[in-house]
Amino acid sequence: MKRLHTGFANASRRAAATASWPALWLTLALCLAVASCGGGGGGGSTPTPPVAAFINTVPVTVDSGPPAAGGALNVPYVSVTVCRPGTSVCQTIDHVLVDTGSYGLRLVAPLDSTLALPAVTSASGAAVGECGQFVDGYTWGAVAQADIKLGDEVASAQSVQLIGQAPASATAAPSDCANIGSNMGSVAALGANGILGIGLFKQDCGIACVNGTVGATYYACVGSSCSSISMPLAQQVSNPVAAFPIDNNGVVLALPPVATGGAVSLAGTLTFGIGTRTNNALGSATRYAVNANGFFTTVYRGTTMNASFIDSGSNGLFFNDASLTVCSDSADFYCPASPLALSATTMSADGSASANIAFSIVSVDNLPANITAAFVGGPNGSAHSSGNNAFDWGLPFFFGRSVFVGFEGNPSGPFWAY
Amino acid sequence: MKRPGGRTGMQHMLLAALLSLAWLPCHASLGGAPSDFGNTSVRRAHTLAAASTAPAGFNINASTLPGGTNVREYVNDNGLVFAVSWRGPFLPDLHNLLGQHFQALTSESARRPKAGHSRVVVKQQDVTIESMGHMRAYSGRAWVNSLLPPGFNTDDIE
Repeated sequence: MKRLHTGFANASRRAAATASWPALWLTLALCLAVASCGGGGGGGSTPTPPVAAFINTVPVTVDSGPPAAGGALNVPYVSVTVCRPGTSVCQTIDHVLVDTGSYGLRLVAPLDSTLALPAVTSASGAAVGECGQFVDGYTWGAVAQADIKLGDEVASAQSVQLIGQAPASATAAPSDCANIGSNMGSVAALGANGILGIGLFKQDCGIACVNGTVGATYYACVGSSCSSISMPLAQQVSNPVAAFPIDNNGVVLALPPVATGGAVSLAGTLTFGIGTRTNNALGSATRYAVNANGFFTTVYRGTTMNASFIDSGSNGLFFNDASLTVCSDSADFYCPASPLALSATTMSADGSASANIAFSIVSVDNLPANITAAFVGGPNGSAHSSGNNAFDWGLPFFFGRSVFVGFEGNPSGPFWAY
Repeated sequence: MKRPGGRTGMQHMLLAALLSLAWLPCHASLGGAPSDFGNTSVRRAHTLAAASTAPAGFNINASTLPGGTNVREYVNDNGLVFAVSWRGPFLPDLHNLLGQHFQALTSESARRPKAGHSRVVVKQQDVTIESMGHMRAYSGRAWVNSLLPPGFNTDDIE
C-alpha cells in the first residue's frame, strides 16, 4: 500500500507517460520557448531526442480504495510523493483522497522510518501538533516538514500533518480537539491513506491562527502535554499546489463520463495551474465567483441555496428534496425506484454567471457491489428559513466534466469554473 | 441536566468537579442550562430578544468564539437550552454545546466511516443533530423536540 523509493526514476516515469498529442505539442512549445533542445538547425542530421515534457498532471483513479478502507464509493485518489526536504529520500503513498473541500496534505502514519521527516517546531522549540477539523470528526497528529512532489511539480519544505503520529509523546488528542467529534485518524475511518486538500483556499486555518490561538487547531507539545498556539501562515498545513514555483494558481480535476448504471473504476486527471499551459486553459469554461466562505449559489426546484459548494471529498450530491425517497438502510442516501433525471442552476455568489446542471440520482441499494462510481446523492439536513442552505456538489458533479479550482490570490479572487 | 443560574465561578468549578467525580457531564448544554464554553475566552456578545414575529417564550444566547465561529443557544422559559447552532470557520466545542447528546453525533460518524461525508445527521425520537460543511466553513444545529416552545419552527434555527 505504501512504497518507499529513494530518488526519482524520472526517466522511467516519463517513458511510461503516454506520448499523447497534447504532450508532444507541449514538448514542442517548450523547446521553442526555451530553445534548450539542443542540436537544432542542422538540416538532414538525425534529430536529437526531445527533452521530456514537464509533467503538470497526475492520474486520478476512482476505485475501491486501499485494502484497509474496506471499500469505497465515489472517492478520487492520487499517489503523492513526500521527501525529506532537500534530499532524494522519498516515499510514494497511494490512495490519497483528492479533496477540493480542504487545504493541505495529511497522511496516515506511520510513514517509512527511513524517511524521518523533521518535526515542525513552535517558537519555543516544542513539537507542533494539529487537530485537523472535519465534519465527521478530527485527525490528530504531528506536523512535519516535507517536499511534496506531484508529477514534476514540487512544493518544497511544506508543513504536512502526520495523522496518528504523536507530536513529542502526545499520542492522544487534546480534549478540546476530541470535543469536536469522533477520531478519524485511521485509513479505515478516512477511506484513504491520506487527504490532499487542494480547495479554493491556501491554508487550513488562515489568518485566524496568526492573529491568536484558535482552539482545536495548532498546539505546542512537550511530553504528552499540548497547549494551543498561534501559527504563522507559512508554517500552517497548506494547499501544496499553491506552493509550487509554477502552475500554482489552481487545479483542474477531470473525470470521464459515468453511465447511469455506474462504473467499476474511473481514470481521470488532476492538472496543475490554470491558463499556464496548453493543457490547463480555461477555454469555454465559465467562472463562478465565490463569497468569503467559499460558497456559491444553487437554485434547485425554486429554492435558492446560497451556502453551496463543490467538494470532491463528498461522495454524493447532497441536497434536500422531500419528494425523493430516502433509502431504508442508509438514511444518508436517496433510493429512487428508478434513476431520476434532475437539474439545478448553479450561480456565482455575485449572480454574474449561471448555468443549468443536469444530473441523475440512482438508488444506492441497487448498485452492484463492484461499482465504485455512480450518480448517488442524499438529503442535506433540514431547511433554513434564513436561506443559508447548501447544495453539496460532491464527486458525481465531476463525472464527464473538467472542474477548475481557482485559488485565492487570483486577480478576481477564488472561483470555480466549468 | 439542569443547573441553576447565579452561581459564582468558584461555585461553578466546585460543582463541575463534583459532577465529574459523579461521572456526569460537566457542561450539559442542549437539554440543560446554557453553556459556559469551558472558560472565559468566549466573547459572549449579548442575549438577543426573541423577534417580535417569533413565538414568545425563548431567548437566544449568541457568542462569537475566538476563531470567529458564531454559536447560538436557544433557551426556553424554563431556562433550558432547546436548540443550539453554529456557523463559521471552525467547529466549536460540540461536546460542550451538545452535552449529553454529543455521543449520538460521534456514534453516527463512527457508524458510517469512509471518506466523503460532508455532513452528519442524527435523527432520534426526541433529538435531531445536523452537522455539515467543510474545512473553514462549518455549520450545524441541534434541537430537542420535547423542549421546543409552542409553535416554534425548527427551520428558523439560524
